[in-house]
Amino acid sequence: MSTLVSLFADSRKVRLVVFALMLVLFILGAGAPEDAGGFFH
Amino acid sequence: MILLGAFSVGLAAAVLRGLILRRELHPFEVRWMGLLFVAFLPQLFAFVLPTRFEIPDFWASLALISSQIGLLLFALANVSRPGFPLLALGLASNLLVILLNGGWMPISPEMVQRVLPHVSPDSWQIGARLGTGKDIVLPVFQTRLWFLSDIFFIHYGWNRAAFSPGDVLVALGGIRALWALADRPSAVPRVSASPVAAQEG
Repeated sequence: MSTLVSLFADSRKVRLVVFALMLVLFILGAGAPEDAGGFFH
Repeated sequence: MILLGAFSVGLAAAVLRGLILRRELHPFEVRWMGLLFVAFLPQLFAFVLPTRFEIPDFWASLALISSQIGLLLFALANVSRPGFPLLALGLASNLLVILLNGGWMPISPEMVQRVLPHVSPDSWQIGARLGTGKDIVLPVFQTRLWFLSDIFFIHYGWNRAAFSPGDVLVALGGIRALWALADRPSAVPRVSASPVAAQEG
């Protein structure tokens, strides 16, 4: 818990997490690979 | 999953670069972040959440196209940032071939058999959407701009995947953007620091 609190206390880390989330969403949304796993979902 | 693999590679490279150069990772300023989250929502419901089984193909295709248009606007708004020219180009490439082929990413029957070797050919058909994904099965000769479709194949671990030139550009753009996290602070416009942070620095 203390680790979580210290993580959010550091705004640079929060911005890094938001930046990473932004990139993940963009990559998932922009890409259109056909994955063998996707077919069985 | 292959695009998330590229993201992991980029993140690992950025962390390693930061350690070697003894720099902290700093995200650079990105405009219109809200547009990104709003634009992704239709794809979340159409391709990720269990709602994808309920949404008819027509609406799923519309969700894909509208979402990618929003994402393209977001990428163009940030095209001066590291990696975003590649991200925008890759997305535009995917969107173009999707628009020209009925609203889905084309994949050839031969490629489907390579990606899904253990799935009976009776479970998919030419001219129809493949599963609940973003692809439509089309022979190469019926595909407009076939060279922008899912023409590449990768077999990694227990998984197999087909991907497009646009996907490659998106992956490279993502890696480039992550690499820039360890740039010198003055090299890229950064998110403005608070006065407290400035005093600490």
